[in-house]
Amino acid sequence: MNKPYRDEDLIRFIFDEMNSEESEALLNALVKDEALWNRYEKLQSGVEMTQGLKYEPSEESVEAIRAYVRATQSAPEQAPDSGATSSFNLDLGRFSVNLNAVMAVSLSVVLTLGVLGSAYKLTRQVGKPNEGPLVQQVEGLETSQEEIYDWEMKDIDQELEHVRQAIETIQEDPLM
Amino acid sequence: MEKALLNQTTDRELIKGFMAGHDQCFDELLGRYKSKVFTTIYLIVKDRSIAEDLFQDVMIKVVRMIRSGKYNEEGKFLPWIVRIARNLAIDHFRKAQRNPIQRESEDYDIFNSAFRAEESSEEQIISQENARYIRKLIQHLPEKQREVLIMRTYAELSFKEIAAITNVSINTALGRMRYALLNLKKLARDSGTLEGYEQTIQR
Repeated sequence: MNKPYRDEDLIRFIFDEMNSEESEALLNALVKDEALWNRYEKLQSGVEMTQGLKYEPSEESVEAIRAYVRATQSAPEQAPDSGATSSFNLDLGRFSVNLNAVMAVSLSVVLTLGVLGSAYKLTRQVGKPNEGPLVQQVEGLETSQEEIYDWEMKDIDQELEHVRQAIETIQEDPLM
Repeated sequence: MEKALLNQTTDRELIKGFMAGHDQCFDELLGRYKSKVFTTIYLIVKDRSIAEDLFQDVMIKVVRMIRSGKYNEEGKFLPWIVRIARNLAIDHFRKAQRNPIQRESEDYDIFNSAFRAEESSEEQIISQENARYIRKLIQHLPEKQREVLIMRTYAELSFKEIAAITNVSINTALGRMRYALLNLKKLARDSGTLEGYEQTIQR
């Protein structure tokens, strides 16, 4: 007695998802069973209708994806035995010293000591009292501190006198 | 890596290459599957510009997941990527149904340029008309039937893979496909154009 085939079996056959034994058995049944053949034809024509429908994304979309991949790129892994290494290692038996790291640490120490030394010298200079009058420290200026003070006070007095006169003028004639 | 070598490389090897920082490996994967993924999305969302956006979203998500080591379905790259595409497309489709925006109908269909180059201009017009017609019929299918039809016919996933993606049994996936095919024929017959369609494909 023939196996009763369902439409689902026919679909598996149409989409080539049966193994060779199943396919052969179904083919034999299709030859003998006209009703089964009609069901098969109906489904097969439905599948044929959908064939050839294929869409492509635009080149802009594809390029945008490529650009994203490039922009977020991670560096390719180096093969361990490539030999193209910029690092120098000193093998000391049980310990391996990376000379690049040693040089970097040494340079940092030297720079730090230099900066600390300069800072210490500056601190010492700031702490010392000035030697001689301030005016002598400025080249070509031969005026004492008292003279500078007197000159500044006179100048301020003159300015105050101008202001006082302006106030009096306004008080005498507000609509001026 | 040579282009010719990449063509012969398996998906699994390409993913490993991409994880190691070789971008050309992803370019090869993109070339292999862009059409299947895009067709799947397009037939679900029914709008080319939305499909373009979603296609980019899917691919960017795929890039991020591979790079972060979240891809672990070795040897099953296409079903994985189609699952992502399907989920994003369905999410969008459901949101669009909740907040419908009137869109202009599309007057053109972009076919695979490789097919078009071999066809005369008359054949191209017929192909385009057929494609538009079939696409409209597919859009009238119930969602679950349409989904199986698209994934099997255009993404070329097996029923087993579709069943896994849609969380149903293989028999359910096959049953949905059966209804999809029968309904497609019924829709064509009801629209009164099946005869015209059959004449067209016999030319």
